[in-house]
Amino acid sequence: MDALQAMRQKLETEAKVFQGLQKESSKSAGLRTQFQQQQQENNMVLKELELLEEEANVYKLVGPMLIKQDLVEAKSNVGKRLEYIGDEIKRLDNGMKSLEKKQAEKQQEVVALQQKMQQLQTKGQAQAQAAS
Amino acid sequence: MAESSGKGDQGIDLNTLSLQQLGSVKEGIENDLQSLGDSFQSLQGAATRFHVSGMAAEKLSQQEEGQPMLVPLTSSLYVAGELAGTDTVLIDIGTGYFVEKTPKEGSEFCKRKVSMLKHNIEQLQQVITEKRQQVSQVSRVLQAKMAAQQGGGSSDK
Repeated sequence: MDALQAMRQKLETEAKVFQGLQKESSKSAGLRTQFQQQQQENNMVLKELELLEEEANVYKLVGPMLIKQDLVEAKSNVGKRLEYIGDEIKRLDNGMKSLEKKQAEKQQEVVALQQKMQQLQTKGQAQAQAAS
Repeated sequence: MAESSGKGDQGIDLNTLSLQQLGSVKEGIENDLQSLGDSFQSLQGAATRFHVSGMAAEKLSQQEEGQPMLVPLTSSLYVAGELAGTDTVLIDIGTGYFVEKTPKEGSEFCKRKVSMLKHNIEQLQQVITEKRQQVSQVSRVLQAKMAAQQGGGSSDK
């Protein structure tokens, strides 16, 4: 019976780890959509900036103030931000892939443990029946 | 991204699923539909706002400098003012960047945005129609199954 108890405890901890992984992956997915939205908005801004004439006045909102900015500078800033967002999305994708793998592994572990426990339980019952 | 959960349309034969599975598939698609509908509405709202802004920019260019006006501070408090200039308007192009444009360019910008949004709305409309069809498909199978089960259950007794 002690073995069963130990197994049950192990199963519980494994299940908790699995749940943690699930939570983490849903968090990454949320972050990813956020970055994707930002990417889209920045792309839109860059397109608008490309349409402008060279002498156009561009302002950047800094806190409550509008600060005049060079068009070339603004373009390069938006470009840099897009680069950063792209990298971040790639990083998140990689992280999500490895998380998925870990999740699948953990799931298999948990299922295997459950099966083992069931076997042990039926065995114990059979033994108890045989004894009585 | 929302398409990933739309597994009812292809690959899996709906008739092979259990009642419970069918129920969860239906719920999933209905959730997708809900969020797509919300997006649809916000897109439409944005299109309307851009349209109004474009009209405002156009109207502004027809006004003369020094024209007395009432500036809204809140929705119910207005302050007397004077139109300083109608040559340029400041357009928010997103992520905190503003660009000085002529009213004409401004209204062109708004028109551009409106046409982009309209395009997106059309695409979204297609997806929504597809999802609606999926839901009705799933619920048809679900109802047929339920009827079959009830019929089978009563004949057992």
